[in-house]
Amino acid sequence: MTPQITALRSARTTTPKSVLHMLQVRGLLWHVPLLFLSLVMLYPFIWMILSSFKTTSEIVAIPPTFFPKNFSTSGYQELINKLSILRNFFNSVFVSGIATLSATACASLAGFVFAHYQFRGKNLFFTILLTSMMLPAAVTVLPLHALFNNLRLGNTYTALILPYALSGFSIFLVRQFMQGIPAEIFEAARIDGASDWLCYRKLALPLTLGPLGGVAVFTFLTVWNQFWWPLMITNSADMRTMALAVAQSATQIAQRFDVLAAGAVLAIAPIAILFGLATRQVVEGIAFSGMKEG
Amino acid sequence: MSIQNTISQPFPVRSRIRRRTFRNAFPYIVITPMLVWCLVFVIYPVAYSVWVSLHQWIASAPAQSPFVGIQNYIDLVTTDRRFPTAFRNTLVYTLVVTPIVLVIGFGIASLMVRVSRLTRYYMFAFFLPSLVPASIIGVVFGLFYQPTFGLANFLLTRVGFAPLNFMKDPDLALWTVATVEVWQRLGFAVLILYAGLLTLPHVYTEAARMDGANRLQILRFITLPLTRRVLIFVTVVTIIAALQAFDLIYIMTTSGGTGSSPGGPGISTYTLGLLVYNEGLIRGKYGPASATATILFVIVFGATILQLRFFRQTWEY
Amino acid sequence: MFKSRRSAIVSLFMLVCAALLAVPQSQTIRAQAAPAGSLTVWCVGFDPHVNGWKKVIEGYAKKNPAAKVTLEPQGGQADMLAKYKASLAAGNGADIFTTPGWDVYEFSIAGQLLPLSPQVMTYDDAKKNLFPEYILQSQVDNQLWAMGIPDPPGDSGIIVNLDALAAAGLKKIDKFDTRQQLLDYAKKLSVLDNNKLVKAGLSFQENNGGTYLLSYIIDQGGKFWDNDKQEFNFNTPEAKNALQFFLDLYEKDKVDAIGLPNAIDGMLQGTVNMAFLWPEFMPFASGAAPDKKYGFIMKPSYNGNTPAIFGHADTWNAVIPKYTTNAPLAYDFMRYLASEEGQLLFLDANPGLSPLRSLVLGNDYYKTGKGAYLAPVIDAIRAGRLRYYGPWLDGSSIQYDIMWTTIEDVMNKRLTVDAGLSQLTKLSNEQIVQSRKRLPNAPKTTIYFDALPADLAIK
Repeated sequence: MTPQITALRSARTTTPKSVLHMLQVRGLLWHVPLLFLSLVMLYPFIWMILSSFKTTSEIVAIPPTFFPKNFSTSGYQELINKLSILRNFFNSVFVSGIATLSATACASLAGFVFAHYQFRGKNLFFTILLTSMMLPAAVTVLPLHALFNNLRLGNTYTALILPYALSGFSIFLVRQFMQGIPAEIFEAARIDGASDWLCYRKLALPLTLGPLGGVAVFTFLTVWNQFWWPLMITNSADMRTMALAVAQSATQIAQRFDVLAAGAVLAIAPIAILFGLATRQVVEGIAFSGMKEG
Repeated sequence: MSIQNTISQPFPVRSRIRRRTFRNAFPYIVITPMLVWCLVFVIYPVAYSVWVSLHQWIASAPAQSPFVGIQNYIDLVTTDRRFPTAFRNTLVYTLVVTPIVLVIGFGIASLMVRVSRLTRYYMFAFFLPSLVPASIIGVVFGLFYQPTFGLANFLLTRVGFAPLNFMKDPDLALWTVATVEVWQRLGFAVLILYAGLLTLPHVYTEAARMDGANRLQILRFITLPLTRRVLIFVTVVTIIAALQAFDLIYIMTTSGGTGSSPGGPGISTYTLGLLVYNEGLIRGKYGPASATATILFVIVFGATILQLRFFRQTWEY
Repeated sequence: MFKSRRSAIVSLFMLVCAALLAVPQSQTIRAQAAPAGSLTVWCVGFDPHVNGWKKVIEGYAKKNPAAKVTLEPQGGQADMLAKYKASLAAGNGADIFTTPGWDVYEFSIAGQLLPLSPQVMTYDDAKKNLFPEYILQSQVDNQLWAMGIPDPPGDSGIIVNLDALAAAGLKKIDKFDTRQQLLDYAKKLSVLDNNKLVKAGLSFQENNGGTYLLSYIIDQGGKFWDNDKQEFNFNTPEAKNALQFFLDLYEKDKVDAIGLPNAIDGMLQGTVNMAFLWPEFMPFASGAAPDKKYGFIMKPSYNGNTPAIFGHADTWNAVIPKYTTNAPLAYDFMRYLASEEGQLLFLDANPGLSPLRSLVLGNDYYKTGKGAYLAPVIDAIRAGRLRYYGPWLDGSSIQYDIMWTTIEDVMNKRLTVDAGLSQLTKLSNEQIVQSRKRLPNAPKTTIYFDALPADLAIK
């Protein structure tokens, strides 16, 4: 709990009138619906993890079992044998990592520029960025596949990364953060002779590191889960990303629910862990942006 | 500039607009590479898609595609059997999923700000579903909603209701998928709304409570207006996603295996997004598919602009 | 040189990234500009196919050690087809890929394939050596455009769960003589609980159901396509009888229920005991549900006591795209695939009907080997019961998006049988018109209802 949030919490000053009211005030009563709902949200994951240790027949058996009756790692074994899953994992990490770095760096620069500069075509460009968030895969995949293959860039890391090197969503968010920084700071710096780049690097960037971290995590998670573009642009199994490999395991080892569950666990575990560790950063990053004010 | 001059300057306006002079090339240096990227990854695909929609596109040999003008659009609107259903389903699906996500999301976020422990666990639990690709969710919930041995009917019969045919019932299938969509989208709403509510200054709510306002009034006159920005943001993003929804529907209406006919039973779960996907990427009829995609894009774009205009007073553009 | 250590680290990092980005790229470029000696094959990520291809490639490597053939399975059928079309448009990709028959037709009309005749075999030889569907699926320019891989005819019969059969006290037979016999078996295989069906005795819930309908129309002497007008017509009494038969499974005979899973899921999960299902399901299921045993029983003809009419419209084929940079090697490999040796290797992993007549009608594989289960189908072929439906551009749209969705509408009582048949007719013909706009020079489609033409008939 950061100092900011703790400070906000302790601002509560009413005095409790009864036990129930005290529970309410102390917030304990609300745990009941929250716990229930959180379990509803988590149940499919629990099911998936448990199923990854069952055989296909047990997963679809009637009546359904909860804990595996016959503990089996057949799903994982099949997955590791059949698919080059470790290579796919590396691919996902590499592609998502580079794309995130690029997208976050660009977002911080672009957000800064949108927030504190005026230039010709500003609104038009912003509209184009908005549009990038609304394009379905069916529209983008075919022309880009043609383009990349014509440039002989098919089945390469370059092709996997470039479409995600910029994120309209991230630029949007960062712009909001940057708008929260008063312009006077930059005015003062400019008076002292600072260049634009220095304004960005020494003032804007350090002030928004927190939110940028949140944006980075968001982008990483989004790129990690991409399916259509990696499918179209990769040909060989060793270039595929994890999300793609797991999705294809569903058809390749058809109806093998144990493999699917194992693949799902492997695909989700890294990002779940990442998000679990970075939850606070992400929340705070968004909380302390300029977006909250009504 | 001397210090005297600085002090005697009028106090600068907060988001003061910098005069554009050609000395200030900085924004252009920054924006130009990004513009190139946008040209390649946004403008080119959209233009290509519109161009394709004006042809009976031959996917394997594009150069031979006959030009048909707006015939694809006319065919879609007049004779295509699935288009009216898909259009209707898209709108209804969005109009049902979005409010539910917003209301439940807001409710959960409000509860979360009132507790001091376990917030990280809750945030993790609620957001995790958003991280799972649709292909996996679809299979998990496919089994959950399986009429004979799925958990859903098991629970329903336990509490005394009759079992339902879920994905096999033409009247029920779309709403079954909608529940899964809500499950998946809730996390994003909770995340953003929670962050927004967290930093709501308590002074306002405390003052209102001291003045005797009840919970509903506080909600209506204080909390909601103050969180307008985050609410709008979540609404816009959720609507964009719901209008384009197709992958959950696809996974839940096709079996693994070879040939498939999604949107079942019959055509009751078709949405515009699914129509684009099926006609285009699966059947290779890119002409009609791109026409549908363009129509869908216009709807999404229009809806977004409309919302942003509508809430203009709080959302500078 | 660097202003600070941080700049040095950042520059180094970017250099490493650039290096990593360059490496796979150059490898790919090298592969694509490779001299004679290497081929890439794309196939659907379906175990029997993948294993079949692997065996053929191994066999070929022994014959031609100088060649390097790489197999790259491409996932599900739907995704894979999108990829092929994009590759053909872009002009690079695999040197050989496997595709269903309908796409062979379109690709050959669009001029995107290399003809296999005469390099793999002459067209006349092809007509004599191969089964008719591989010729009829595309007769563009009187060339052979594709070499088939073993694949059982989709609507020849019925898959049954052998354990359930035994439990119901029924004997495993090779073919059903009458529809009544089929229904008797189905009723005994149905399991009820409180008067509710919990296990289907005979499921018809599979996307390929349309082909069973077409076959039963011909079985009654009916026609669903007018060769002169190039139009569908399902508003016939034969069509009505056929559709009604399948609907009766739900209402009258009660051997299937809409709430039960579809045929594939149900068979794998054990909630369906018998289904109208493609024979390839058996090798498919051995991976997905290794604890279950399945058998194939040929379906009855509509009127009974003669071998049933069945079609093989859903062929699987290997084709060579025009953009390949290694045509000589591709042809050589195809010749191997077209040989008895190559086919037998594929058959070992994927027991189906080989496109080679000599194997199917003579080889031990079909008498005592893994192909023995297809004996009744082969008898029916000898009796002249094999048909080919098509080719139609967008055949998959017609089969799945039109036929199956309409059948589902009728099953769910959203349409009456007559309305359903009218819808089938109307929508299929609309699709034909739309497809024609795309490729107006597509040859006419002739369906041989009564018997195959003399030069293709099976003796």
